[in-house]
Formats: sequence, structure tokens, C-alpha cells
Amino acid sequence: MILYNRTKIIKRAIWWVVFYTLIFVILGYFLFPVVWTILTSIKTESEAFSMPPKWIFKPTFENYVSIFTKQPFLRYIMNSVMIGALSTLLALILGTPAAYALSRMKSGKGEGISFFILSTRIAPPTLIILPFFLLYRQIGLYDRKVGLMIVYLIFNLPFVVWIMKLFFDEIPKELDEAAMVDGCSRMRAFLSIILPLTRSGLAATSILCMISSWNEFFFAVTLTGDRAKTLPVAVTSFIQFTGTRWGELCAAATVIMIPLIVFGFIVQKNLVAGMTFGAVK
Amino acid sequence: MENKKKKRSRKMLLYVLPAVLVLLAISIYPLIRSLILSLYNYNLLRPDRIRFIGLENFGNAFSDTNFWNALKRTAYFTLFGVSIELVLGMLIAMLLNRKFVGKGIVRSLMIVPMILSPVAVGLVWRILYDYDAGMVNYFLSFFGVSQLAWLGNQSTALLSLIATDIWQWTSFCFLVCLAGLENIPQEPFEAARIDGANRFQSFRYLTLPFMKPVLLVVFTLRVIDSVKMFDLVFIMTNGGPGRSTETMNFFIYQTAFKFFHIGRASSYAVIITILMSFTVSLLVKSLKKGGNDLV
Repeated sequence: MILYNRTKIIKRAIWWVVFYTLIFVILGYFLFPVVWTILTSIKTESEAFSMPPKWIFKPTFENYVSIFTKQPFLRYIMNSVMIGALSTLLALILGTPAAYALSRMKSGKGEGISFFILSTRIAPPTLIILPFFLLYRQIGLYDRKVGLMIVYLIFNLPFVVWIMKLFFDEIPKELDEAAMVDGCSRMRAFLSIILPLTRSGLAATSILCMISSWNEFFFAVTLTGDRAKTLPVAVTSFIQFTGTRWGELCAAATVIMIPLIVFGFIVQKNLVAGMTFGAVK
Repeated sequence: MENKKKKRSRKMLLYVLPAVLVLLAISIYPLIRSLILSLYNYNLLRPDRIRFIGLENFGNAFSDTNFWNALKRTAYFTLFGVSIELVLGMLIAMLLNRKFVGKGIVRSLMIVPMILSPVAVGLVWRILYDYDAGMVNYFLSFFGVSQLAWLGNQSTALLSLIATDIWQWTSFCFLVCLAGLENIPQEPFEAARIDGANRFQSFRYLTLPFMKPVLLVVFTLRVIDSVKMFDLVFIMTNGGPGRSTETMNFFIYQTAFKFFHIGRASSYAVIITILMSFTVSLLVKSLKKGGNDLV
């Protein structure tokens, strides 16, 4: 009996060692590229190229200084932030009331919306972008922040409607009915009672919208020249300028990645629901 | 009373109207304009020659080997990449679907790849794949694999892009699968164990059927996005070497923004849209059959 227990314990111990080794390998695989990029961004140019790689070195910020001084990098960041923020705000203003109404209307109407969302995602971006490209060149919105902000509504607005509907669905209908019995108008009930209850949902939704705007590349590269250029586009033209100046490339990549990682951690609880449109929670 | 209710629901429509109007304007307008453009010989560089040519663009597309090759590459990229992402994601999720110290941290860290811009991911992997000082060659040298120009080689470039896509999106498949696994009720598994089912049996007859809707959702979303993949090609290979990484979306982009054949590019985009709508509606149908009413 004792012998049996001992082999069992050893077996368990081996299992846990194997288990944590596997986890270590998996995490290493998924995180190494990011860690390596951040490390390379604080190396000097010759250290970045040294083979075998240097693991211990004196960190330097010269790559960051050079990307911010050689190029108007700060302006590109501001462009990205402004376009993302304005598009998100507009999507929220238009989308939240719609989401609320859809959540309160009889079921069945949501189906059309979900199909619509899917279809805006299915279409190849070129199908959407060519008419915008031609139109914007005619009416002077090409290479303007406003132009890109409007185009970003194509994915931000359906997203807000769909995700916010899920948040409103969690609030019982009786609550707005009680408010309206007490003499509130529907609008008052929505604005001052229901909406504040979805604060955390609103926050998560806006962050997710900001993230997809910050990451968007195809529309940005086709609809902007230099004036409204966003960060991802700036980084790619950067490759052509610097060739293989790895330190600077890594610094640029780090500048894109850090906000994403920070905000990603903040919304991690809503990430799965957000990215599957609530199909998996 | 009945009247009041009707009035109320009409009022509710006012909440929906602004969003619907804006959405129609920004999505239906381009759709119709693209359909019209696809029937024209429309080259931005020769505005004097713009004319209606009916379905000629479509005919040309089907006899163009570059179009077919791009389509094949996209199908290859999508099917190969997405199926590996799904299998790997599911395996890792099954491994981590238990109680252990550090689970929360592991789960948090696993979101990193999927949250990054494809542009940043492309940049990072472009450096990792470098012939002389790239980490891929460095690590593989420990296993006796000789140096290789991963992105500079016709036979490995597309595979390298697929591997990058797998790196980024396996984490997404993993997170969704883990969420799915955690939602599965435990009782049937206990009952099965009491009845003497082995691990494989309970996986085959319990886990998989329970997970089928989740797997289908992930599969559908990944297929949609993978077919549209553009950023990685743009940043890592620019379609080369030769045309070996010219996937559909990149091909359409080049047609429109390098050669300015707007009409031709529109016809390609229309063909892809029709193909994709067909594929996705099939997937959604099988989702509904599985009793998932969420998509």
C-alpha cells in the first residue's frame, strides 16, 4: 500500500514537472519575439547585429531619440490617436442608442444586424476602399484625418452596436419600465439610469475600438499620403528609409506594441467576447 | 394601450435610425459603386479611355493565371494556417484547462500575440527571419539546421508568412477554446468515467461535440480574416520573391494602387466577395444546425 502511494506521488511529481516545462516552452514561443524586439530596441546598432546574440548589455535610448528626431514620429502617433479616438467617439454616440433600442425591442430583429456585421467583415477591404479612394480624391478628403475617421466607422460602428447590445441585454427591462412609471421619459431612463450601469462595458468597448483603429493598416495605407499618415503606415515607410537599421525598427515596433499590451491587459476579460462578437464568453 | 405600444416601438426606431443610415451610407454606397466599377475599363492613368465593357473584366480574371495563382495561395494560406492555429490552440487549451498555480498569469500573457498590430508582428518576424543575424536561424542552428533565407526563398517565403500568422493567431484560438472548455458542464464527464469511458472516448464523444459550436465560430472568424490578410505580405515580402507570396488581397491592391486598373481590381474584389459570402453562409448554416444561435 505504501509502495503504491509512493509511485503515485512520484508519478504526480513527474507530471507536474512535465506540465510546467511545457508551459514554459509555450510561453517562451509566444513571448520571445516581443521580448527580443524590446531588448533590441535598447541596444546599439552593432550589438543588435552581433552573433551569437548579446543577452547582457548596457541599455541605450539612442534608437528612440533617433526615430523621434529624424522623423515626425510624434505627429504620426498623434494622428493615430486622434483618428482612433474620434472614430470611437462617433461610433459610441451613434451606436449606443441603437444598441439599447435593439436590446429592448422584440427579439428576432437582432439577426439582421448580426448578418450585417458579418457581411461588413466578409467583404475584402479593396471592395470598400476603391469607391472611397475615388470619392475622397474628388471631394478633397484624401490624406485627411476626417476621411480615415469616417472609414473606420465601417468596423467600429457595427462593433459598438453589437457589443453594447450584449451589455444592455444583461440589464433587466423592468428597470427602465420602473423608471418610466416614475415619470421618466424613455430618453431620461436611458441616459441617466441604464447608460451609467454599463460604464465598464462602455469602457471596454471603447478600448477595443481604439485598439482596432490603432492596428488598422490597409485603409490607412491607401487613403493617406503624408499629412494624415498613421503610425503603422509611418513604420512601413520607415523600412524603406532605414533599410536594416534594426535598433530603430525595433524601437518603432515597440512604440506600436506597448500601448496595445497595456490596454490589452486592461480589457482581457472582455477580449474573448469582443473578438468573437459575443459568440463565446 | 395597443396604440401606445406601437407609438413606443416607433419611437425606439428613432434610436436605431442614425446608426443604420450612417452604416448604409458607408457600406452600401461603396458596394454599389464597386459593382458598377467592375463593369468598366477604368484606368486612373488613362481617364480618357474609361468606358463600359460589361462583364469583360470578369472574363479576363478567369483567364488570368496570376489571378488563379493568387487565389490558390490565399486558399493554401488560409486552410493551412487556420487549421494549425485551431488544432494548436485547442491542444494548449486542453492542457491548461485545469487548476494550477499561475494559471491567471499564463492566460494574461497569452493575449500578447493576438493583441498586436499585424504591422508590428510583420516587422518583428522580418527581423527574426533575417539570414545573418536572425533568431530563427540562430535557434535552429542548435538543431543542426543550416542557415536559410526564409523570406528570400520562393519555396519557404509563403510558409514563413503562414508560420508568422500561426504565431499571432494561435493565442486567439487558445483563449476562445479555453473559454469554451470552461463552460462545458462537468456532470456528463463524471458519469462517463463511472461508466468506464477512457480519456479518448470522453474527448471524442463529449468534449468535441460540446466544443463544436465554439470551434466553428473560431474557424469562421479566422477564415474571414485570413482571406483578407494583407499586412504581413506588405511588410515582410511585398509579394516576392517572384510572385511567391502574392495572396489575393495583395494582388488586388497591386492591381488598383500600383497599376491603377480600378475596374479590374473591382471585378476581382467582387468575385472574392461572392466566393466568401458563399463559404461563410455555409459555415453559418452548420453553426445554426449545431444549435448555436449567437452568430
